[in-house]
Amino acid sequence: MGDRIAAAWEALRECRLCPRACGVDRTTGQKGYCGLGARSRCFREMIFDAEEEGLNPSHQVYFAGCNLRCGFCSVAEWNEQPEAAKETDVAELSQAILRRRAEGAQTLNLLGGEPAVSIYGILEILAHMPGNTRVIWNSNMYYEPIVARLLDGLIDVWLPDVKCGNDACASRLLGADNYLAVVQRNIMQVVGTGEVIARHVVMPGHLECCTWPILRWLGELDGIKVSLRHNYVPPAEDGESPSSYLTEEDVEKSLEFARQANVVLVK
Amino acid sequence: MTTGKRYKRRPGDAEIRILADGRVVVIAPDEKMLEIARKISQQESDVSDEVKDNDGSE
Repeated sequence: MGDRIAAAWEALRECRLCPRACGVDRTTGQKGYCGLGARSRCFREMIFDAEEEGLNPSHQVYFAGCNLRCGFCSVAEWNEQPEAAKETDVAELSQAILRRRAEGAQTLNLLGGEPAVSIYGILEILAHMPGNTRVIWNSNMYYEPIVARLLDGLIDVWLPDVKCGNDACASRLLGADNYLAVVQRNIMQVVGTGEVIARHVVMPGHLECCTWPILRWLGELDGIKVSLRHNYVPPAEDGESPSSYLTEEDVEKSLEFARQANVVLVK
Repeated sequence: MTTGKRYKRRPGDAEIRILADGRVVVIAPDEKMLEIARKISQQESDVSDEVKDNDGSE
């Protein structure tokens, strides 16, 4: 684990952890797109009972900072201002994780923001965990292969959040280029290395352009379950993101798409 | 002069919406907010039951 942590630190010297490829030296405090220096910043940790079946109660550990700018993000404020969260105290957070586990948490759920941009801090935390900790990587999967190498063998459940089914929507809604190829590459790479549950939050007005192609692609892969979520919440601000909630028809249509794509749905 | 721009959530803010159909939507809740949402939902449910009871007594 020491070698991985050292490798993660080295990667921060000219950060290209994600496709933004900012190339800044985060070890000296320089900041790129994600707004983070070297240290991770945890802004919330809590027990949550509404993750997918078999993952609950889940200990969610939220890391500030993200490499996407989704207009509908529910924690956008922490991603736009990650320094509003204090730097993670590794010993303190490790103790909190062990305490939550003693309280009944079945899984350690790493999320954000995007955990990949906090990989150095996350490896520091995982180094303190007992070997039988069931770890969830709850990620947008928009990162470079070095992140997958650093995580190799450490993740029990991959929880990719697949947001858009084409690059035009991804560019408009997430501010991401080459989104689909990157995310698909990373998802295919983790198949067979643990449980994989691909999440997709259905968005109003994006069933044909996003939901359908995502489900069709996932249906072609073996070893992936799909969590179709119908809890899209429109942002309060005006912007590119859908401004309404889903209708009953949207929900029914997405479920019909899932049937047609022959995906294995989990709740 | 006002810009008319909507308020943007800041770190530490909480946001709970009660929709016209009575649904309670909590934005990225922490444990305290979840508890508040449960209480609001319960109150909504109690009010709704009360209305039903009143209707039934007519």
